Amino acid sequence: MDKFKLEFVTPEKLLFSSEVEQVIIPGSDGEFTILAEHSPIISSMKAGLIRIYSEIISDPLVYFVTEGFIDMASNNLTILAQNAIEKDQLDKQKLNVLIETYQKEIDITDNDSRKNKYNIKIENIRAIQTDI
Amino acid sequence: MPNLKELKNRQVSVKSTQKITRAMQMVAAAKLSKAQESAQSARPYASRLAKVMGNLLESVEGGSDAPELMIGSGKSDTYLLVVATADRGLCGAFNSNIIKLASKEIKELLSEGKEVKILCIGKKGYDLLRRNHKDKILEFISLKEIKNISYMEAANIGNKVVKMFEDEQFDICKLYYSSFKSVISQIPVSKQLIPLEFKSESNEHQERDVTESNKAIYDYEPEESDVMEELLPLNLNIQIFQGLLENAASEQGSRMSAMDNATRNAGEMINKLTLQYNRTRQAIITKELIEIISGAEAL
Repeated sequence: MDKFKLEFVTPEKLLFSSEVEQVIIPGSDGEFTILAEHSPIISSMKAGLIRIYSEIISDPLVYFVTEGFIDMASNNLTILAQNAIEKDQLDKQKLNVLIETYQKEIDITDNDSRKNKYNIKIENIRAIQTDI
Repeated sequence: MPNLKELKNRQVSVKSTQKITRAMQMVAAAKLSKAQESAQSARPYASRLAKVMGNLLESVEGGSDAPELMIGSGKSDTYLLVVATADRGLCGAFNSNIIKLASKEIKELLSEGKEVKILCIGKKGYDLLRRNHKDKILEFISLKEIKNISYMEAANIGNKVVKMFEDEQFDICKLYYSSFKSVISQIPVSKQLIPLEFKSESNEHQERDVTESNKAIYDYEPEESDVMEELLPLNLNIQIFQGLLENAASEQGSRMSAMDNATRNAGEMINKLTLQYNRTRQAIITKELIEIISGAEAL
């Protein structure tokens, strides 16, 4: 399968930079897959799992992200995630903490659209919680 | 003539001061390398984000429906100044340099009849600004408890700023911090956060991107404006995050050189005191000898 370059960065560090074959992205309008020669796209992400498939590794690398962006152009995929947790290290406890922080935000804001945004985030995280 | 005991005491006290400054210098050196590391590891994200922003701005630029975070509220009556300093002192002119720059601009803005609001990060800056601009300080955020600045802290501050902007509490937002050039050189700088200002470096980015992906027409998911709306606060947070990281590195660098100077000065002082001590001791011995000899001669 054709390969393309993936760079996976969080504000704290460069997490992953290598040639990969396939990446599944939790886009905010639904999950989608990026393969080599994908047309240029900028998309935001919702809370979900990123799956990275590569020849070098037998099992896909799976990361949990809460929000972020991807940018695919000229066979270079850049994932900008606010925070990323490896799936092995993910547990319900951590997700609960996230939900709580969003819940707090909802409680203090009086802006309806913002409240909505956080509610959607919580829903997304709950969905993942039931998955694992 | 000062007596010997007094001189000895002074010597001892300078020596223990030197021990403290030397220890602080070493601690600062260790912290500096750590701070530099984290500032460096934050760079890839910022540069990638700048690239994505550049791509986006090209397509949105000129549009009248551009979000306010990017083009501003159209007024420039009220300024929000985010002044980031350290929480601790003993780091040379680090804090006062940032405050000097901020105070200068506050003065200019006030003389132009603008309203100024201040958001303080770090205790030292707060203490200095409180003297002259107490009524303008909205809030004071301390990062004392936090050893390593994480993105979450910056995001909290960024969210506050965005919220205030949405509530129309200010029109223009500026960030003051110290940029880290090298261990011995830290330069206080101001950076405009809202509306978005593109400095030369990001222009370079944009230009290069144009040549690189000249024909790349992006698909957006969801709509372009939605992506933009989410990206702009993110960009703001990252700018603040980078400012805080550079500030942390600058603080340690500044403290290191200040403590290095202090240690050297203490060394000089010890040498002087030792010389004085020895001279006094010799003078006393000579005096005693003269007394004995003249006493013997008198017999």
